[in-house]
Amino acid sequence: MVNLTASYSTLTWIPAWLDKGTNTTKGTEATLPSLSWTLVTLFIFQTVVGLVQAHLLSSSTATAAAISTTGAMKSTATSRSAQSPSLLNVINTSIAIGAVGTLICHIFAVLFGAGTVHQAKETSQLACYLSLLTFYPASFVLGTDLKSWLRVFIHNSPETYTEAAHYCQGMMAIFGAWLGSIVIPLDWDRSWQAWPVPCILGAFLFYCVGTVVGFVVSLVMRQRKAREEFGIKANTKKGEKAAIDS
Amino acid sequence: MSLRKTLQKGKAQARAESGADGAPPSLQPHTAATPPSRTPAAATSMASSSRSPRPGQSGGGTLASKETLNKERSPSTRLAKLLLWVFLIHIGAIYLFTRGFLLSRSVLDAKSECNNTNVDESAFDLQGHGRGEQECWYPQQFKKAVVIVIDALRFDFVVPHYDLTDEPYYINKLPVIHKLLESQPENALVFQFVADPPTTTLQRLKALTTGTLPTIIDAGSNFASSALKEDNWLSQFEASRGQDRVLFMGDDTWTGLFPNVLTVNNSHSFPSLDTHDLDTLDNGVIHALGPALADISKWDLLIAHFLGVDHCGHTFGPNDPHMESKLAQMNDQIERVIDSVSDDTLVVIMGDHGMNGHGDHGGDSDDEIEAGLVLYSKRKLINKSLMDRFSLGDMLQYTKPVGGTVYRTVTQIDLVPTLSLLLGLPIPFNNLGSVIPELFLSATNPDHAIRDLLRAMRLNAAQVSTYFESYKDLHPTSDIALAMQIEFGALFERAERFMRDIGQDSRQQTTEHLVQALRLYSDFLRTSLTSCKRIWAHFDVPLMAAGGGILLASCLCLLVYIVAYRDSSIPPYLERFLAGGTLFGIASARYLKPLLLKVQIIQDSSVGLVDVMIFSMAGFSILGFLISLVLHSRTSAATAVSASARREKKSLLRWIRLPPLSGFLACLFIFVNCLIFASNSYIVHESTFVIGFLQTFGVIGLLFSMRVPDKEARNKAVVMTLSFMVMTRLLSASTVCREEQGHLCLPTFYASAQQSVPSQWSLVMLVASGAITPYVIRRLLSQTKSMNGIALIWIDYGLRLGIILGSVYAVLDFEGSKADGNRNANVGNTFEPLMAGINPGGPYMWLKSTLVRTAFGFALIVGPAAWWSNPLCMDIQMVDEAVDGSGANKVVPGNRGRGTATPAPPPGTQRKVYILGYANAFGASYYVALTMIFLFVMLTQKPLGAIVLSLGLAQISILVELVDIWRDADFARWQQGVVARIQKETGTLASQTDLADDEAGSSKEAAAAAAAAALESVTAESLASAALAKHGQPPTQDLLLPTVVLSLMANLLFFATGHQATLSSIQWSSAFIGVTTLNYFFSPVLVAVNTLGPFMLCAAALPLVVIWKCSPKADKLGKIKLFPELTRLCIMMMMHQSLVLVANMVFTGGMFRRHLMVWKVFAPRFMLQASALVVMDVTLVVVAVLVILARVVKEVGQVLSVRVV
Repeated sequence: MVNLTASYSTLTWIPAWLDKGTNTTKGTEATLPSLSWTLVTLFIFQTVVGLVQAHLLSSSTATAAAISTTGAMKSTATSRSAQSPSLLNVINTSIAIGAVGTLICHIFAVLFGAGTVHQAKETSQLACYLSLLTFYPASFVLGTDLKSWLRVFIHNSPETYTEAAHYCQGMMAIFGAWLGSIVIPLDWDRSWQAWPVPCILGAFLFYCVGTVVGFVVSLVMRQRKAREEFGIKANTKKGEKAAIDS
Repeated sequence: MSLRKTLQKGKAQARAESGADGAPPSLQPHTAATPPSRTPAAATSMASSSRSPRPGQSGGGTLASKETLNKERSPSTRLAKLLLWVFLIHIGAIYLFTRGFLLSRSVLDAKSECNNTNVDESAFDLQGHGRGEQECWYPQQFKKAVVIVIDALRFDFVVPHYDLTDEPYYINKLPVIHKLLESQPENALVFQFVADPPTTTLQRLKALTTGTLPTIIDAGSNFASSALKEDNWLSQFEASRGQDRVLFMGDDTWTGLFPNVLTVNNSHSFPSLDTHDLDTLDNGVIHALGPALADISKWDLLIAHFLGVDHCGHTFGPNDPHMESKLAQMNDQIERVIDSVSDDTLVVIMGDHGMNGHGDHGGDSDDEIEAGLVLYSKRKLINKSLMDRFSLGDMLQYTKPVGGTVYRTVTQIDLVPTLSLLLGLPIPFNNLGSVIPELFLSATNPDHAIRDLLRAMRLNAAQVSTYFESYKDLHPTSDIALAMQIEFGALFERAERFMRDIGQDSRQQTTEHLVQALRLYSDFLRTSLTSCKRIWAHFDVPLMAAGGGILLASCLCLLVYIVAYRDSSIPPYLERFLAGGTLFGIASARYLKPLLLKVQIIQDSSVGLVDVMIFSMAGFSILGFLISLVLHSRTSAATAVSASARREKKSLLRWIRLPPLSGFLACLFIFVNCLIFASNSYIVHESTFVIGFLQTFGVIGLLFSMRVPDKEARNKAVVMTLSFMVMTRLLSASTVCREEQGHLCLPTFYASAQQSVPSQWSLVMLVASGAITPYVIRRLLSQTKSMNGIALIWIDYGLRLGIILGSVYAVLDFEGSKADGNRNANVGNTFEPLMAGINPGGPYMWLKSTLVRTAFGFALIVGPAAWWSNPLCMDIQMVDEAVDGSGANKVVPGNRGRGTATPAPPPGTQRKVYILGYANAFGASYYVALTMIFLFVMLTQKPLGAIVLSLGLAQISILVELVDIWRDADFARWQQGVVARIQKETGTLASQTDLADDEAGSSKEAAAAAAAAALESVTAESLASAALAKHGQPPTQDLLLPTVVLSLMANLLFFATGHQATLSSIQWSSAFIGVTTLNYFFSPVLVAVNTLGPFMLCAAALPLVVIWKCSPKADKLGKIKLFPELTRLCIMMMMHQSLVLVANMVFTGGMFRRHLMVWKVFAPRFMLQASALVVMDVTLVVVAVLVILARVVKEVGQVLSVRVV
């Protein structure tokens, strides 16, 4: 539900932003202020969504613990321990993680060929956006636990539905930024081809795609989990039958 | 003494000693205990540990392998044969496509004649001028002419700049021209002289004398100019005035072009390409110019070609103090000429082309095509007032304001008809230029002036029209004939009709009507020239399609092979099918040709028998390839059925199995790489795109590395991946930018954007790399204790010395050019003979070339010879180990490869033989050979290029290391899975058959009793084989992604070594590394290696991906399976590059062949890709597989008595 609202509201203001981008004729210099403005909006939006998610998670632990299977047990345990810190603490940690994420994104953008000094401002803008789409929202769920970060993003094995959603959104956002860079060298002389803009746009678009994908994945996960439970039951029944037969 | 003998001796010794002691051979338990699979990370870390084949079997094994070797051909030869076939297909495809794409223009041999002007002049009186004495087509205006060609005289060198505060070294350095423009504005004319690409001297001289458009394919023949057969004004001049009235001095390109006109009697020619300094040729010309100017009655035409400015550009770049002194010298010479000529002499001073920011030329950037042209005569040359009066404005083109003034722009070939008519000669038959109007308006009477101009213009138009008519007669189906029909043929008719109309009534011959007629003729001339420029290279579409088609077909075949042959070797009769197909193709070509010619499109193209033969050979051998694959799959399927039904099912499933992530990414990379050619912007920015690919691989690699289970290996892998990414970024920072990249690119390869000398810090780094590179390689090889044998000698001495010699050469070269320059600057433009130190015979040159020749000798003769005689990097070490395992081990001294008699082991110990470097037996040896290729390529590079290559080698090493770590991780993961499943199935956790423990801890159990060990080994082995039967083979890692990355790395290194896909970025100065005079064998080779060296290096490194740290542990049959994977990877690399070429062909030849940028962007990229593909193919087939790999496999196989299949 949260994911759907997130994707919807993101989708609604992208066209407005696009308008801004294409109307400006001076390229990046003119788009930069509008980019910063969107950045602030995005930050506030992600914070609210993240807090709601964190709150929902902590409130649902009690009921979730009762019905959760063995796989989800671990994560509920961690979220239960993370439930104690106050709202401010949660935001502080997330901002710290987001800042580190920005730095990481910046370094990788430079590795991918962005200038070290030339257009550093624009690159940092992209890094902020990417961090706000990947590291920052995920930090509300994963917290400071490095192991679960590694598990979700490196070993590709998110265990809860929220984790799966963040995983899909984050990966898709990064992929979108990668894909967006393809139009930069074309000689069409459009304002939206200026350095960070296509990457940011791509990240946004694919973030939205990721939201949908994440939703589908969590549905699949739910179904598979149900089937597994059923399958285990069936297997044990079969085994009992075989034992009786022999 | 070879290591092989030592090893065998050592083995014999160990056997004898153990026999004497009565103790069981100490090595047996380990060998037996390990399951027949590859050794995981834990075991490879004890690379030095004792793994030698079972003594009892070793003798028989060697014998057996020798016998089978005699019977079967070695797998490397078979692989080479397959790759050779692919290579031949590539060559054939490139040949066919090139013939269709870069077709040269047909040359018409006809000559213009004095008495046939092609135009009926009687009907219309245009005789305004009464001054001509001799009349040919047009009254002769000037009796004599002086043509001074200053090579690479760019337009902005010529014109005055008044408003500059900070003048570069090339601005305002020809004050004599500025003076003329100010004091005698009606006697001097300055034009911007726009050349057509290619802007190389030979092509420009052809255009400047014949008035034609030399096509791009001529560019390659700059090294050996051949005589010009087309009609030209120089021959016309000689025909009318006699050979002795012509005098030439300068560049020997002229004498090569006009051997019949410029003979020993009337010319002073100097070698142009052999000249190293800026002054030899110019001083020679100046010496010859003196007497010529002293007695001007001896000649009617004087041609002087100065080369110094061009040379200065190539060596130092335009913005250099040398340029100032050089231009000052030119200024003096121009002044001298202008002072001494008579009234009836026309002085032409021109540059044949310009130069780009680095002083190079060849392409078609604005700076390269814009040269300067100055015309001067002591008689009044133009009538300025008339120019404005006739309002010819729209016929004329002007420059953008340069230094505050606007100048006229003329096409280079416009000089040809102008000069011909002014000198009273017929216009050359093939000319396409049009007369420069200003020069025919010198009459004082306005009516006479306009009639003069109209007459000249009409003669010119008639000549061009005649040329097109005869071209059309000869090639009725050509594009030119078509364009003439629909585009410009009618324009000439229209102009002639207009002339006839106004000719009937002299009252109609008003100035307005005459100007109107002028405009009509000019329209015809301009339109026809534009059409010609557009379609001159006549594309032969059927040939291009044939070339692209067979290349694409071969790619698809290879793709089938890669997908289907994952772990089986080359089908047995493949070679025969290929050869059979080829022969059938040759035989059937004769009968195929008439069949093909029935098709309408093919009739129009120039398809010859050879083309048909190539096509049918390729086609039928591809068919043979497919048939053999199908047959083989059927037979193998049959055996699979008899073996087990499950396997057959699997082989069917194999076709629809999804590719693993790395294979998918490899395909994605290739696909995107091909799409680059869909737009000229992508080709322009390709250097940035390549980093994108490699960094994407880096990120994926980072994910792989972080998933490695073993902590130590994981940390190592992560650090390595990150350093791979950082290195990629560093490499991408080294670049020469191409003009189109504009502000998005910062040139760093040379000291500055305006120079072509290396920067000082790159030299410092180069010298440092001489110390660092061998050290790093030593560390790399020492990991597996492979610093033995050839590696010890070559890496520590040969390679190090080679790099140091190379860097000393670079420093000497740098200092030499600086010293040369300083002297030049001091001496200025006096007529001094050459400096003693710098001339070819001097000690400086001798030292320089000897140093670098020695280094080349190391890389090409000494190193390979030593490696060939003994390529192994292994050694043996004997250790007396305490039986009780107390750790009191003692290395037996004095028998490291010397084979001296060793004392018997002390009591209470057991003698063990360790083979050092066993774990990387194939890889280390191959790596040593690779460093030789590296040294060779590095020596041909500029200093920064050499550093870049060192980084490239480091990247290659990291890549193969990473592949090894990931492979181990995959294996460990699989093993864990198997162990878990076995435990689950048997349920005996307490049993001592713990596979993982057995693997990792085998050294600990070394001291266990023989019987127990044997028992355990039996259980372990049987368990392992049971596991194999149940859980399948251990995973074979998919190496397609590293292969594609290696292939892309070649592109990155190409750009990082200061190259771009343009003709002007070729580093011609590398032709003289270690060669004092231009050598027609070594110089082209050096330039080729300089340009395509990165492709050679990366192609040669490919087998390392498979064999690096691949343990030479044989299975039960004494075999190691390496070649199936090697074959796939070699094919993959070839397929990647050839698919890129296919994309290039499709986009360049199919979609964009009329694109504005086709000659500027697409065609050079095509040439680069084609040559890169050929070089990679040759390196892979000949160097990598047939020589290095074959030798490594044979030697290692013999010593360790394993068979590599």
